[in-house]
Amino acid sequence: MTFQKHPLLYILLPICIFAVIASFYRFMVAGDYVVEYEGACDPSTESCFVGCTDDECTEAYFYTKVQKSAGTVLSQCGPDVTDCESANVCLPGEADCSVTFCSADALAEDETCVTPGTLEEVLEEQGMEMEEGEGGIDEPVAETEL
Amino acid sequence: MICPFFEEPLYFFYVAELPGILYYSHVPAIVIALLMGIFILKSDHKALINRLLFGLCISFSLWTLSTLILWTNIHSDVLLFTWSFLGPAAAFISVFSIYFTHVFLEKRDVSNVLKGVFIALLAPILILAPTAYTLSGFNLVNCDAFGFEGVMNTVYYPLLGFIAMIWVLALLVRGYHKAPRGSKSQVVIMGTGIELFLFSFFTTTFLGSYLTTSGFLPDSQIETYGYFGMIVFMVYISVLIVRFKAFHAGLLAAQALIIALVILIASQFTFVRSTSNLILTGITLLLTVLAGIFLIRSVNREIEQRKHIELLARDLERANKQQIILIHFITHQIKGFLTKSRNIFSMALDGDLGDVPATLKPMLEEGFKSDTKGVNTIQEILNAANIKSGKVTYTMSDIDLKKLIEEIAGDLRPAAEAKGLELAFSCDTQSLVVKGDRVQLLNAFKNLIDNSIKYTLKGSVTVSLAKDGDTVRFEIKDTGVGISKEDMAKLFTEGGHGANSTKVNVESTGFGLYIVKNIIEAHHGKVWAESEGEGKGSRFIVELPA
Repeated sequence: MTFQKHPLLYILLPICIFAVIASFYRFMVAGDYVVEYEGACDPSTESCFVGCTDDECTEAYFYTKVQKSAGTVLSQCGPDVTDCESANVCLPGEADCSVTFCSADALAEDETCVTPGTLEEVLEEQGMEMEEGEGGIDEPVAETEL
Repeated sequence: MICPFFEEPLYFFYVAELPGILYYSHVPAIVIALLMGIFILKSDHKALINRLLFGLCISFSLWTLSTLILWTNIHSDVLLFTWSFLGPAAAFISVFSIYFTHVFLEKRDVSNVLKGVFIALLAPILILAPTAYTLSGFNLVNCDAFGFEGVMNTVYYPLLGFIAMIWVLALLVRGYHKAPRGSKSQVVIMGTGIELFLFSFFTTTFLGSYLTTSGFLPDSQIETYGYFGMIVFMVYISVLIVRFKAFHAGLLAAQALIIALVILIASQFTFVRSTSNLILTGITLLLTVLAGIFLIRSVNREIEQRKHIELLARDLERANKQQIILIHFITHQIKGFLTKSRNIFSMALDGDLGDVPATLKPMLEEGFKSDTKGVNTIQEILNAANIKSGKVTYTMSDIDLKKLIEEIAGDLRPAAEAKGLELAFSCDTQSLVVKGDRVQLLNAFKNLIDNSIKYTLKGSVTVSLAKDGDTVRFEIKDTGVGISKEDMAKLFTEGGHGANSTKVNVESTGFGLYIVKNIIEAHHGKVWAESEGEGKGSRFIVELPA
């Protein structure tokens, strides 16, 4: 089995092995990627996105959009971001982190915004009730840094 | 990280809430492709075409298994690691399809330049698989990475799929035109199979990814329908194996097909819910297994018989070749002896050996005639053997057929008149030019006219020549012994004597009309005979392109 006879195998096999190892290291070991999830939001003090807890959309919850480095979230919260306060905020000096509150610019199609002054009005308009504890993935937190 | 809104799968893959079609499309496709690939590789692991088909099946199985993991797993690291190889797997499917088609059509490996092109197409997607050009993040809410796919996943591999479809199509069109007549249907079967697979696979995966990313669809479930394309392709491959013995697979193909069918029916259990449907599916499965066992046994029997027949055919061919060599040897030797003896008779008759007593002269003449007939007979046998072994070459030139037939008729008229027959020739034009080998055509027409004279005991032989549109029609009609229906079937065959022919013409070799047919067909013409039966004369017609 010479290189002349099987150039595809000789060139592509090492690249394949390299790609598998590098990909395994990046995603499985280093957690070198961004995760996006819904962070907790308090509609009485912040501008939040409104989500539904069921298909009929009778109950509402409020959230921000959080993007964080997976490695950081893993070290702060473990594999589950639910019930992890640090997951909802960007800590000082934290790289690759953003928390997006609801605004006209951030609003996508089929999404609704709620601000402290419009909470009751929006809920009434949509025919929704507030969920108990009404946070996003977590309970509402006191401070949120951008 | 785990997706908080999704439940952990049972036994790694099973999630009750997922649509049944997901398992029905994934599981059979993975198993069928894997089984087929392994069976074909096992049949002849040294054949490049088998290795390429195996590579194609493995790439597809890896892709499909990966997408099943993406549908069921909830760990972002596992999902992204798996997702990062969807692009390379799809790129390998594209390149293996092109490479496979090349080798299937050309029956040999591709050039090193083309291998370089394949490497150039695959290397970027492999090298960039672990980078942000492929994937940069993960959405824990939707449990997918559609919003984080880089240029390699959104543009490069769908484009490569499209290129593969066009490339394979172009190869197939060219291959179809170049393929010999007997192989064209193989090109059509393989081509239809691979194009259906590529089209359904790349179109649905591209649409699934594009429509989900752009928000038109909640998920990429549409792509699951594309996997049925692989099953269709495998069915086409099985047809090639069963009908044309492709990939040297034989019985393995039948086994693979039955196993695939069983898997396909068994997969229905993943979405069948009512008791009656469960019972019906169970019965169908049982019947399929039983029928499958019978089918495999009968295919096995047929394959054994076919092998036996092939062995016999090879032996027969070998014996035939040896026979031809023997005929050549014997006829050449005998022809040499007869020629020598004829020359001695000729010299004696010409007076070259001194005065010959008058009483001896008739004997010498008889000897000379007998030897001449012997040489001609041997020459006829040699001609037939040469035609059969394909040794005859034709030197084409413009020939005036009218002149040629007149010449032959002139030569044979004394023989006809000696039997008290009238030999007439008519032609309605000045000249009739055809393209052909003069020596061979002369041999063919002489044979036909000579035959009519030999088999006509009284009456006449009428030869006519005419132009009919783009063809020249030669016709010879006699009032001879005629041809029975039974003899008509043997007429132009090798050594095909009629039941009564040897009674009329004891010197018949049975090769004359066989030679005529071969010569006429080599000139893209046709020859046939007509007769109302024994004792009612016969008619031989030759049509040649003008």
